[in-house]
Amino acid sequence: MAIDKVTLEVLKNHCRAAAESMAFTLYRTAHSTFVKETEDFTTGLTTSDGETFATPVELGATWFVGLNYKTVIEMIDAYDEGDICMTNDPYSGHVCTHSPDMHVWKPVFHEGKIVCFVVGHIHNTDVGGAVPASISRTLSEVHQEGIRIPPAKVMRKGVFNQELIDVMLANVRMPEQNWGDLKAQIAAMNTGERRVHEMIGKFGIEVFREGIGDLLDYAEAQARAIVAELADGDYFFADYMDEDAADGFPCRLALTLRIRGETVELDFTGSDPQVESSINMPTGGQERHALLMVGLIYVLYSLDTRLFLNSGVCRVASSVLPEGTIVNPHFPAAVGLRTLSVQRLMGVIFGAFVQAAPDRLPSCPASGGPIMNVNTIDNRTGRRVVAAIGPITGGAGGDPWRDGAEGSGANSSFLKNTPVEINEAEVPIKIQRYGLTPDSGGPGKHRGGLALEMRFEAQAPNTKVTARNMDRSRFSSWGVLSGEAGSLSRFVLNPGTNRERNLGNIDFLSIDPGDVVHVGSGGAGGWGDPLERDPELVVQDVRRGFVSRGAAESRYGLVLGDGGYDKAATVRLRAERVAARLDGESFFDFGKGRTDFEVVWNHGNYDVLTELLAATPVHWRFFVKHRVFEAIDGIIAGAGAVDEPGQAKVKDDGSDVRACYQRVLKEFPQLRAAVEG
Amino acid sequence: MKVNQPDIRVGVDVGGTFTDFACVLPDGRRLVFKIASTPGDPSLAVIAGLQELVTTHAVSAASISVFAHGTTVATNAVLERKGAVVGLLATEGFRDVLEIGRQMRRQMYSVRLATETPVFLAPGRRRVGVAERIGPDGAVLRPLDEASVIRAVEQLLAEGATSLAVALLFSFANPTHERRIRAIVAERWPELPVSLSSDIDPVFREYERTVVTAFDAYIKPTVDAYLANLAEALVGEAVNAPLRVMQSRGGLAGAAIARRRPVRLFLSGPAAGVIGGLAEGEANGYRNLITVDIGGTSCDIALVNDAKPLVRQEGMIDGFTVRVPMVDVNAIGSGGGSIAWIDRAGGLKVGPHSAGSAPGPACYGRGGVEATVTDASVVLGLIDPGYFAGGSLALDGEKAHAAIAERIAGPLALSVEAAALGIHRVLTAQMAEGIRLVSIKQGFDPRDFTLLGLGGGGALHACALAEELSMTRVLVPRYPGVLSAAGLLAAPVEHEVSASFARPISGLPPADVSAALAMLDIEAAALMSAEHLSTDSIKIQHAADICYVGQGYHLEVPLDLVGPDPLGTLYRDFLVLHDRIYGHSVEGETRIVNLRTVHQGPIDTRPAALQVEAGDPVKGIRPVLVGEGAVALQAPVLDRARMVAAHEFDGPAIIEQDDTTTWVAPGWHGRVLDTLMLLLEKTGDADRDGNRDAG
Repeated sequence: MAIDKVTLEVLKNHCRAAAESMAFTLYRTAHSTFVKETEDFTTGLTTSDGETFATPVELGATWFVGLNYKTVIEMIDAYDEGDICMTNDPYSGHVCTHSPDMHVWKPVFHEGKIVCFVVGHIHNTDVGGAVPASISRTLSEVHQEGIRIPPAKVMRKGVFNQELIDVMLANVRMPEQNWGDLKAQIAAMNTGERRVHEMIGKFGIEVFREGIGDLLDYAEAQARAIVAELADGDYFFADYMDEDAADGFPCRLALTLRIRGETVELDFTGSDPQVESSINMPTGGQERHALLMVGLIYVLYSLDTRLFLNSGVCRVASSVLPEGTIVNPHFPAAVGLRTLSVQRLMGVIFGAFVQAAPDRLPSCPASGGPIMNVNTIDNRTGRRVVAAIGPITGGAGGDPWRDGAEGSGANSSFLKNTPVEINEAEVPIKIQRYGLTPDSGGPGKHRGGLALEMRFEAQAPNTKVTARNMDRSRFSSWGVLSGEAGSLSRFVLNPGTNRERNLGNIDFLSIDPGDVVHVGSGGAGGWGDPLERDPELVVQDVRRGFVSRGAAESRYGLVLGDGGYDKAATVRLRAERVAARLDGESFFDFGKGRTDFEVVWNHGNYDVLTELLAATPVHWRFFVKHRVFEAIDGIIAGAGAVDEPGQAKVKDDGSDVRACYQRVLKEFPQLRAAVEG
Repeated sequence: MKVNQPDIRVGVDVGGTFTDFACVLPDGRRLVFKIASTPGDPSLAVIAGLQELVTTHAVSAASISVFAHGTTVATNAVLERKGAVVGLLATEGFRDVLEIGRQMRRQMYSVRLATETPVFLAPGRRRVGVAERIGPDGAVLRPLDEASVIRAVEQLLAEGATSLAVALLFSFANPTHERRIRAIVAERWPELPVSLSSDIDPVFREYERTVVTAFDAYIKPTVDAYLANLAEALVGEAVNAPLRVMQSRGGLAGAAIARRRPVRLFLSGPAAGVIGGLAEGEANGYRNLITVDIGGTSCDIALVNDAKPLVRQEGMIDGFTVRVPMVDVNAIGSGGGSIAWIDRAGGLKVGPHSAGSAPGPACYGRGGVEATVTDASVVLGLIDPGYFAGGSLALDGEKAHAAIAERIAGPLALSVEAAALGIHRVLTAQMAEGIRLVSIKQGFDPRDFTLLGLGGGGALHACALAEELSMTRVLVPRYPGVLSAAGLLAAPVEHEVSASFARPISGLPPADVSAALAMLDIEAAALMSAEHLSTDSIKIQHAADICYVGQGYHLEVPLDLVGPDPLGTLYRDFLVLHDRIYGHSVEGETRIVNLRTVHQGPIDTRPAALQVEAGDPVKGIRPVLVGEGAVALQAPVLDRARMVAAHEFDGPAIIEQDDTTTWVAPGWHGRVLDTLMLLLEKTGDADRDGNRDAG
């Protein structure tokens, strides 16, 4: 039974406002820089079954609209009024997806019965473990990623569970921050509870109960209408992370999107096996897991920004998540850096959908820039400082209407940066530059947004720098419809000196006074043909310092002249460029790194690898993948330098991949036993 | 006969459509009138109104003692993008701060993104770095390279810059480099206006400081020319009173000073409106108010606590956050012209799109076909189609009916009446949420406040809003449409000066605080002395922005240096305030972030004398549809102009006047106060008379 549409709209306003009041309370009360300046937190309301029916629209992180608390709710035996529960264990119910995220939930009672839960999470700067800030790509087991608290009551009938809190605080590096933030979360839960009681008082318990179910149905109906407008079909897309582990091989995320009427199926078959680093995504195989739904929600919301966001939206989707893969790893795979893989996965979902609606969606947003953390001693006080100094994100993808926003608009841009004037006052480093990177945006009729870069100098010896989520040093953000890929990310020690060192894709280093670190994200992809870009816009970009004079000519076919451009020469040059083009331009431009890689690892070869690995026991897969990659590299190296560059010596029918796999089987009899056993 | 005592006070508020005048004569009588605004040069309407005052109302210009002005010039320069061509000088390596902003976006879930920072102020080619660097403690890490300044300015001039903004890192800790740049520019390019971040907003967070400085540079030439021109014109009309302008924080400033800090003139009119509401409330003994000004396209909400407006340290202008102290006026996109529509999941929505005044609601008969809030009001019988805007615009009830039938009732399978009620319910819920957010953000419970209905629509929706929020009192001023002009007359001259002062409270010698405040007081006193007010009439209030150590947001806490333990009191007051706003507070390390002083001139509290027309206030009776079932009730229709003080009545009732209609719902009791203010109270409230929060 449904409540009337007018009451529903009124209730919807109240629910959203309740979630926003919770967020507001949390935001304003939290203590740690990460929460207060970057807003990596969520608040929400769920049904008694754990389905999220309301979240804030403008506050907090964006990843948890589709979050379902059911699994963790059920892991607590019984609830009393005044209880508040928490967990940060990624393997207890898969609500928490890495250990820094402390999720809390509080039952709201009415006449002795639970009517709903108020919920939320905060990303703690540190929860202990092997490295400061608890996250490093190099970790391979969740046990290294800090203390894990399985679902437990942090408050019983309104009284703190001090023993639990003491255990947690004894295991973290900055206990006063975790404690301050936990208190802020509790304040937010209490705000939410109060708001729910007010709503029940206003609408009556029956209308409230039915109404929250109707809100989920309502969001679902909207989402179905949006999907129905897209052309039915199968759309394949894959993208890579630079490495599946330190000094590893590329890591592939693949998706076959099947649009059927009002529903979509997301089939992640073809994604790599789970990895021996911390970029695994702990979904528990749940077909509407929040980590998988983020990209979908962005797409549907972008197609119609009037969409009311809650778990109901996710009901249009189902997923296929092969076991033992990066999208459905087995315990105890490390998961701390799933932020990186989820961002890439979002891009993969965008890449599948943009094929269904190229006139309504943008090219790939910038990514690959890290969240920088510094751990050092303050010379002035002698005290240790562990702090996030900011996310280095980049711009938005060019879209059918305009250029991508510069330096902001990547799909992690729910994160706020930290002002230089706070960083330098609180963290003993000196920042030399914080700005936009010229020539980084993918050329296009509508250019991709520029990358962001920061350069800073250490002030104390042994200053430890963590570049969490560093990526895209090899595979660019892609452009569409002849728009070109964005620039690669950059991570360089002591640039412009004889001590310069390209750090590539590493995510941790230790520096000393005088050392300068330069870190930059990748640029976003362009949309449409750069040779069709309005020449005035190119001239403007040159004057703004966003595009160099050289790139104006080489990439946009623009001949600059006195204070403007030479029209006749430009028309001529552009015509020559168009004439010189090969036929059969592809829909995507992936940039050189990926194009080179796919000369060998094309779709067919990768399908064969996926098939072979799927038949291999989970604990062998990562190992076998590496041996096969090495063997293939051996074939390429064996072909010698006499070959023309770009000419693959690896057959594209999968036969070489099969042969390499057989060689691995032969070399490791244990593997054969495991496969056949 | 001309009134010739030198004590005539004039308030002029320029709006988009009308320029409102409120004038108080020496005998307390009040003149209120509107004339059409002149958007091309708003001062024309101001002068025209002044001439009307002289010719029609027999007021001598020379007798004017106060000429207070609310202006949209600063705001419009931004809205219409008609400001100066700004060149921005930043610390080398940081010129893109303005564009990057705080990185985070309000539009979070979309991948189709337009920029959200005010890049238009100084796009890339007009942002240049200069070689210099100051550290967090104010130490010079790299001396200013003056040649780089000259090169940078030359480059900006070549790009057409007509106004300079200078925002260097840590200039709030040490302004010498910024000041040196100003001196260099003054020497070589004396005509080029310069705005320094260390003058305009000497507080940390470089993006926020850069934005406010760039806005200042952007509007400075426009505001400067406008105010100079108007002051001159007033002299030409023989007005001797100094021209004073309403600042966004709710105090007046002499035009000469306002020109130096133009960025403080944003939202001058709405600020005056809040002061007007505050004064009306206080004159009737109500010191805690939520003012709701409902116009055609939007609804402005503000909160008055203990007869003081809430002042935020940052406000919004054209969607951009600007760190300028502003009376906290929250606009939401709901008004009489808001369009009702059905989304594709069948949900009923109201706004934010508005039919505006052209074509306007369907009932205007100007070709509008969308169903609006006003159309719903007509269908429900709340508005008399024959007496809208005092009968100056005849409404077409059938068109209202048809629009709602076609756009809403049909698709939702409701009766037209039920659909109209639905539109009102959704609107009420949206506005109530806006009000709730404004109050809860500050830790206030709306139930402790009185709702003040303003604008053309405030009085119509006030009872429903109050009920939605469990508020029990509503006030409707005699002239709810010209509160801004009236507010200009009620506002004091006020100057605020603040500065960064980053010190922990514990162990802080009070003398350090006094010394820092003394410096600020000198600056503020200099501003006040330029206003020619007697020094003994000036009230000084000190305040400190305080936070817990490690916390990112601070609270403003009043500071009294005279008491026995000023900093201990400050700390305890902070805990109390923190508890009010955030629901908790703990003993802990706290620090001061900024110190502030506010110097305030005297406030004129003489009551206005108002006239009542003779005759029976009851005009007739008409059916109004109310409640979930859209039941028809017979409501008497009263004429506001004939309602004398102490007149009492019960809802349902409709009170009509030229500029608004008041709906008194069943269950509400009305009374006309001595000031002719209308007080509506929810009946069944045991202590409804004893509940006034001041007497």
